[in-house]
Amino acid sequence: MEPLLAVDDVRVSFEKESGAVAVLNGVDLSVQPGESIGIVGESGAGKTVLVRTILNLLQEPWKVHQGQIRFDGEDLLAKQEEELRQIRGVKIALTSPEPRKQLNPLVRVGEQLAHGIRAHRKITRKEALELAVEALESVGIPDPHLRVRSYPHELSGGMCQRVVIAMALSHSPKLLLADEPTAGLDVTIARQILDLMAELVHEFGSSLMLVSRDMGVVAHYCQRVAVMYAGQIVEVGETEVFYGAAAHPYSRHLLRAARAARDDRRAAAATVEARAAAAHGCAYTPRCPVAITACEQSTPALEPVEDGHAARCFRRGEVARGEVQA
Amino acid sequence: MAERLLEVTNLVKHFPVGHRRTVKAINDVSFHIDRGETLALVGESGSGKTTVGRCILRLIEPTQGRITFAGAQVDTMSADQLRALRPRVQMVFQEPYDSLNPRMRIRKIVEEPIFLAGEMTPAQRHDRVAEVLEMVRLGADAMDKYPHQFSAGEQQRIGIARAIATQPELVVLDEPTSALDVSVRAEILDLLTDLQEDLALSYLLISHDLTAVRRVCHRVAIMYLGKIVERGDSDALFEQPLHPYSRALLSSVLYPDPSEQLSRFLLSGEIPSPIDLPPGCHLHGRCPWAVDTCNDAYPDAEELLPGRQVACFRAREMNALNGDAATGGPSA
Repeated sequence: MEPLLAVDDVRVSFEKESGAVAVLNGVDLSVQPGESIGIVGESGAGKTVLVRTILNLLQEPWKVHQGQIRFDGEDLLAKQEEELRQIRGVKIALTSPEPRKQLNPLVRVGEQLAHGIRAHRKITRKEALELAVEALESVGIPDPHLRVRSYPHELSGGMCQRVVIAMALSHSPKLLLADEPTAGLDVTIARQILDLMAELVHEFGSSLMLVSRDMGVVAHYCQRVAVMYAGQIVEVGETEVFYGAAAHPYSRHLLRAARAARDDRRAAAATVEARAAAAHGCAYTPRCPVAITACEQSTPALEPVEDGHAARCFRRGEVARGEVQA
Repeated sequence: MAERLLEVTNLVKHFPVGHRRTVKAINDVSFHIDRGETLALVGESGSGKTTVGRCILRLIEPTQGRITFAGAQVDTMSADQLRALRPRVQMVFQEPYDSLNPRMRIRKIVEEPIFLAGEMTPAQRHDRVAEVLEMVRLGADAMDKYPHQFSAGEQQRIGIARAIATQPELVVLDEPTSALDVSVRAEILDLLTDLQEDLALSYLLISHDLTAVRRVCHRVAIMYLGKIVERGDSDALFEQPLHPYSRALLSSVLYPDPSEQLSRFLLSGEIPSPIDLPPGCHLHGRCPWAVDTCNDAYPDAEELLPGRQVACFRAREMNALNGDAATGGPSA
């Protein structure tokens, strides 16, 4: 099947006076129509920059050096601002980790929703406001006809996230980019939001790219997982396969840390002395417990472990089969 | 019998917010911590857990209630008495960077509480700073640097070094790991566990992160809207929560294993405002078990299992505990 989104060798840097800082170092990723994929990694891995690159939102001093992003048959990085406006918010929608900041504090949420709807549909303000009420209802906001008149500060964090989801889905996008949708929410509310998002995405047949630091969220709400480290995808695979037989030492490290609490084990197995990364080697070498000489000499490519499961590691087979303690 | 280090009885804290309204942050909370023990205070935002921590240190003044630390009554202490108490009760804050003065070197930051305690010479203070920086595995070379030169995890280690510098007996840990990435989080929790063993510390661990709490605490108290709804021994409570809120909170945790069945014991709706607390049990509007009684009165805490207090009218029946199973036992 033709992927909906294909990110091919994308390289992005942050240009400072003192020199460029490479943030994305050749990201390859594809998203199939209707699929949900989780992007996991710790802060600084480049998850949010990847999301912004896909939307072609990066401006100076950010610079895309190389690569291609094909979405629905079109080359996003080659598009003009005018054409992008027909894609952003319509075919590809975004929810940010801080819903309150995504909303305008001075405008009633109904007006904001209606404004977004009218930007791409020729209807009257009144009709758009009626659609806004429906949209709020569809995301489970009680008394939607009253709530359209609320300002963002009158809503809780969970309600703001619902409004943002309603906005994002108001044009039935083909792809929803959800950047840390539950980051600032309490756990009992977070589950409600994730369930809602999964249900709506399924209903619209949209693809979902869920960016998260939480290994638990991705395990339960995504069909595939991609792990980012130092601006690269270091492993990608079906959720079940990944959680059962992760093939990259960094993925193993993340899983171990996330599971430590329940398993009542110490997480920091083999704390590795930080060494400087070799200029040509794998970026994870300094922290890797199973690094070999080859890892310092060249960077491994994202190569298959088995069908649909790939990792950027020379020892991926051994790690996946548990033959070495990574 | 373990020695009681801290005892909090019927603590209440209400904040006036104008127009004769009050935020009822803590509504009659009682608990204790034994020497060498970790009690986790768990709850979502607005549950009052941070306010409890701050009341214990008298960083804010409690409205009512009694706080006893090592036999001395804290809630009535004068400013001088409080100053003498400070070295014995310390705090680690949630935001590692924001809680360190950006214009002070680490030496100064860690030295400050020892300096204020006023019992050491400059040379002794210097040695002590070096020693605690070793203890938190940063090394004495950290001394001459500034906070921004460290990662978030290292900054939290500095916060911990500052807290243990005066050899406290109790450390209040206010969400010590919630600003950190998952692997760093685990390191900090391991460090806290080691320090507890080495220094015989007691901890009050305030957190919303159940996965973080489970491994490090001995007992747990779960808070919802200013009340402790359930408390008991950590392992038993995590294994079998009895209060509907505890059950919902625990089933909201997504374990990183896709084959694990997701629990569907979820609460509906949102957390009510602590200004307009609902009548009766604070949870009744969101609770799948709620009946009319829950609307009328707040349930008293009952000991449903040995050492397990639960404030719910229906917990016994819904958990199918018969009267005999609740053996009473010594109060926890």
